[in-house]
Amino acid sequence: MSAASPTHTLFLVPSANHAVQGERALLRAGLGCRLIPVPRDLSSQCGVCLRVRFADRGRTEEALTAAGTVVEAIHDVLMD
Amino acid sequence: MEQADAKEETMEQADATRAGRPIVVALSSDTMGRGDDDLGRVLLRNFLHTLGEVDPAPDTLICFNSAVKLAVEGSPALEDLRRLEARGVRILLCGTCLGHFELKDRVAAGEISNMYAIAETMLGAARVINL
Repeated sequence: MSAASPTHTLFLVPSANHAVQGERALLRAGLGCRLIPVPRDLSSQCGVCLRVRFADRGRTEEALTAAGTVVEAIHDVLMD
Repeated sequence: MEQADAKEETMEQADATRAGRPIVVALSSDTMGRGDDDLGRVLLRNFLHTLGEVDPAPDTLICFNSAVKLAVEGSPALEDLRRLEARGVRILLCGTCLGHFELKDRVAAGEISNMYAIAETMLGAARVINL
């Protein structure tokens, strides 16, 4: 049985400020995103990350880099 | 020790739900905690998102003062509030507060309520969690 394809990509950032800055950058770039808590299976610490559609992964990475948003990790996930 | 306390708390909440007495979460602002409002807004969005994933879900969410801004068009918390409604969580919005912020015609989740319903809901609850 093959694993299901990811639906979303999570961009983990170092702080809530980075998340807010990243969200603004993505909205300016016309990319839909949501701030959500970092899932427990990715980190036991309280954190916030940016969730985008998996299809937007590449454009998101480019937009965040252009905006100078620090990204600590990227995870492709299956979510509702 | 903390884990034991958390487990006991969860069991108490489950007991309260089983007893038919609702759990109510009351939001008094569009931020969570005091100190930095930008951080508080992110924390509250995180909290609402998490409420949609954990058990037990509250029976009712009450929004008053600036918390009503969470339930209007354009709010970044809207998707999470709708998800909570889909889980059966009743969302009551203070009508006076919506009027104060001139947001009555922009409500996109929950129901416009009044202080009688809010007070009765709080008084009839097994517990009220105030944020």
